[in-house]
Amino acid sequence: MREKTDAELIESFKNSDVSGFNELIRRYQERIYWIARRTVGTHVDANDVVQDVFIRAYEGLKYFRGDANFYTWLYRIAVNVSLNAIRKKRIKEFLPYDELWEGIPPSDFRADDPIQRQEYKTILEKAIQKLPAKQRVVFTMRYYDEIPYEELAKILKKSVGGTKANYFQAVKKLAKYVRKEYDT
Amino acid sequence: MTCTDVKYTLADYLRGKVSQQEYRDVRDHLAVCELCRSEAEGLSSFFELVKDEKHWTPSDAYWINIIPKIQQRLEDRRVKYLPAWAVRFALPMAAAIALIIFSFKYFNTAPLETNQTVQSALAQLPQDELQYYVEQQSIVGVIGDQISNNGSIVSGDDKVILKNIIQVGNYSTESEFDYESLLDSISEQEANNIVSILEKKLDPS
Repeated sequence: MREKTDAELIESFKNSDVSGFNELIRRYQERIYWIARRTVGTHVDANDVVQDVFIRAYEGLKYFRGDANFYTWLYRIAVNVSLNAIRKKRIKEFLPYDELWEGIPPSDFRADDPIQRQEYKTILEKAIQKLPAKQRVVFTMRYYDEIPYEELAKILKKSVGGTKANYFQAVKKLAKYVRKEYDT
Repeated sequence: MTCTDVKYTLADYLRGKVSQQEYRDVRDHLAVCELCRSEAEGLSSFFELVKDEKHWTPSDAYWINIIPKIQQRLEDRRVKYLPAWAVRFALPMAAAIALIIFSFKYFNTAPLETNQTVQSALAQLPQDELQYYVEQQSIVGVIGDQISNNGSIVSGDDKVILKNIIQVGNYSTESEFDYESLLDSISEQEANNIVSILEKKLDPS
């Protein structure tokens, strides 16, 4: 059977068919999770962001006019919710970004602890946490999701040139950090 | 291609994510530009280092449980949940509007002090809450085109903006504001003043 398009699922949701929305969650949950995870840095926070994103999408979907792709609209929500989560966490914990995203495992780190294993990060993932929040978002969406610059620009409400520049700067910073980590 | 164009394309070039034309343009530029070549070598070694990194991923059970969790939270919200901004923004707005309508109907004071009362309600709203609130309006497309890129409100029809804000407040709080009465009771100038306050809160500079 042919898979329904996003537009068809949205239409059925607007006609009170909740299963259409559930299918949209299934379709996008992993992508939203990884944007959130790489932006906010931990599984626990990313889990909250994913739920918040879909709850806001659920509430806002009736206003969605279809002018843009659904995923552009959804990603924009994900970016806003993720950045907001960072802002709230920073305020709550009174920590500057650098300290909050140090990415160095604590001395009592236990790899066999399921909770701690969730927070395991590769060198690249640690490096991403060193980036300014908006560059984290740009890098994640371009490097992992390969979103075209034109769509990225729409999601971030920036110019295409500005988005390319942001991605390049992010890659340069990451390259510097990763090389340093591998050298030590 | 200029050096800047090449730099901005390098990451995609090195990962094979460019068109054939872009590939040829970058390759030809690198053949003659030492600076860009050096940049390319640096990025190339980076991509080589990270390409096989394996990251932790949640279990299948995690993905299966997302929908039930979201449905549960939606159900809880229907019953009891009011978002923080609604408590801090929509409810003061509702109180202000109720007070205005009450004052107008029963005391018939003239001129109506809508602007002052709403200003007072808005004054209590933290800047970041308002920023977040307006972003959400923009996201859901309610007042989308009326929000410019830097977050300021740029519509000429301030009454429409206020109406939309209040409508969304209604939806989110599941309460009923008599926004038509509010809008009937304030002048274009007052609506304009209120929107100016919103703009200043969004962008104090």
